Amino acid sequence: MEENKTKKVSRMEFLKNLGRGALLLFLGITGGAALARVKKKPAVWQIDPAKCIQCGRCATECVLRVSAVKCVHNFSLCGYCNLCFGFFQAGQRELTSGGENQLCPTGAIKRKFVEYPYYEYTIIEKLCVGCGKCVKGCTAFGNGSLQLQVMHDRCKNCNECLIAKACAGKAFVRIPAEKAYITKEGRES
Amino acid sequence: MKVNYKRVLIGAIFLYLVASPVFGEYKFPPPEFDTNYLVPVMRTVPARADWLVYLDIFILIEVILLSAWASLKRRSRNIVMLISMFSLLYFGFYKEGCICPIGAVQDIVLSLTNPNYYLPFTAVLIFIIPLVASLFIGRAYCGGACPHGALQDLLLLKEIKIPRWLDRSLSMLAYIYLGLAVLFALTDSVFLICKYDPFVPIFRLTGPFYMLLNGGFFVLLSLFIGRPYCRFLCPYGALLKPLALVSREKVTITPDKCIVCKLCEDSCPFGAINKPDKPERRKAKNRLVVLGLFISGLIAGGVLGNYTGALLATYNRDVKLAVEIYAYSEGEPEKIILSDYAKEYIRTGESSLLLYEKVAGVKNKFKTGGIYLGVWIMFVMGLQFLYAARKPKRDIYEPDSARCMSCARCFRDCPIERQEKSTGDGSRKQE
Repeated sequence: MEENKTKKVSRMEFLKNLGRGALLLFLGITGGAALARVKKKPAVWQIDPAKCIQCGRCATECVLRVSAVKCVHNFSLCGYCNLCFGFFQAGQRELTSGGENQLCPTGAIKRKFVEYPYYEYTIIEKLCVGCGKCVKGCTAFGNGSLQLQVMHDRCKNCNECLIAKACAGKAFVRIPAEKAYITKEGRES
Repeated sequence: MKVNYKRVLIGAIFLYLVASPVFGEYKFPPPEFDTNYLVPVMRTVPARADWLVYLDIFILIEVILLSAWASLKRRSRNIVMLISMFSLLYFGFYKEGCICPIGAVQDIVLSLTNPNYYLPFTAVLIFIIPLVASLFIGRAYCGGACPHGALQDLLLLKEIKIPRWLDRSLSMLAYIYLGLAVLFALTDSVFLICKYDPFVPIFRLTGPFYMLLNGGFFVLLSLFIGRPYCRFLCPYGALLKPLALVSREKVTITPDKCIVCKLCEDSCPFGAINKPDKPERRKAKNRLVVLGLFISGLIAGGVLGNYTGALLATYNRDVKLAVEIYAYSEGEPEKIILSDYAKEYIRTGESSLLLYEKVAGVKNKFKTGGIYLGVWIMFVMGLQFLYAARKPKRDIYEPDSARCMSCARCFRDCPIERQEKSTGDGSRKQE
């Protein structure tokens, strides 16, 4: 009886070892196949401003509240217009920074006089929710210097970006992490 | 010939400016300022440094090994708790729960069907490492390194015991969830596991409403039920269970000196302690009938899955778009309010036939996937029933290696172990 028992235990052990070996092999093959498909260069999500249609989903679809997408101002494109279509609501009474004239729902754009007739517009990033209302105005009637970008200090770089899934213009792209922003002139920093 | 580099450069810049479509698009040319105003630069923030990724993987390996050491060698619940608190802080609240092995399943699956998918190096390693580890040291990942598990474990306030049959039935949900997640990831529809993860919004302290609601629900549940997500839903746990079953090392209580006092069973909040059992010799079952039932179950699952697959396909965005485009092109266009997706699709002027073709492919994938899903669910359920019906002879209380999450509660409460520790065994100090 005693001998029988030890034999049984060792058979169990043997089967376990066999199973472990087989599973290890299987894991190795799966891991190897997956590693072969790994993209070498680290990549991040970014919005291609040329494709962006300002549908407003960046503000609502992100897993973060507030969204990782913010409006940035590409000053080198800006016309420094007095009548800025990114800043003023349609049918504004006068060209002042009064709240009733502003387009931005959170008042995140600061308007500053530079010299006649030019005004500088700066995004207060803390207030920006990434709704893209200003971008829409600027793109439609202005130079398109206001644009939406994924800010990488906020973005979690989810492998399945929910905004990218919901993006109506298919403007979300993976780009190399070392050049993580796209301006209308091309890629930057 | 000597090349004038300056000229080439100027020429290149000129060509670029002329060729650039943007240059011609200025509706209001950028002004030339008279004052000494400097044009500010666009604000950009660099992405997270590359090498930090390797640090994460290193920490993950260390934490798994440490957790295994604490539960298998040092046998200290306090140390396991300390390790899981660290994981909760680092992988949870600092790394905000992303990237984790639970979701990495989907990355791996999608990359196998879609070669263009950006699969990061970390996803593969973070997926494979705990699986390999579980073959040797059991589910030490669940016990110490998983921030989801740590959160639930530390939240457990007043445990309500779940009857064994309910526990076993609910734990099958994890396999169904895993199957669904794989199907949706394969078809590039949605990452279910990430979208409905209950704890990530808690780590981030923010998130969409449905995520927060889900998180709140699971936090409430974890106060009274030991690790509800781990036991009943975690798709990664579903993968770890069979691997841990053949693990080389496993958690033991005091196998040689067990006095069958039942204290360990009471201490385990996860229903993972097997009771002693002396089954009387039963009549031999008709194995042919069992096998027949099993196989017919698989077939039924496949048939049902085929139909559900077609239903599930409507969740895919391309399928939704195709339905809309079809209604638009066949019905009365004036009466239909189009979504942004459809508007954009019509604007780009792509052929709808191309879309229909693509969608037919997606639907086929869903139908075939549905068959596999149905068979998979029936297979898992069948195995579970067979496993539950099997009654091995057992004289002592011992942890079930598949379900045990190396939390070290059982031997902390074992009177024999306590006695050994208090009598001053050099290697086992009192806690």
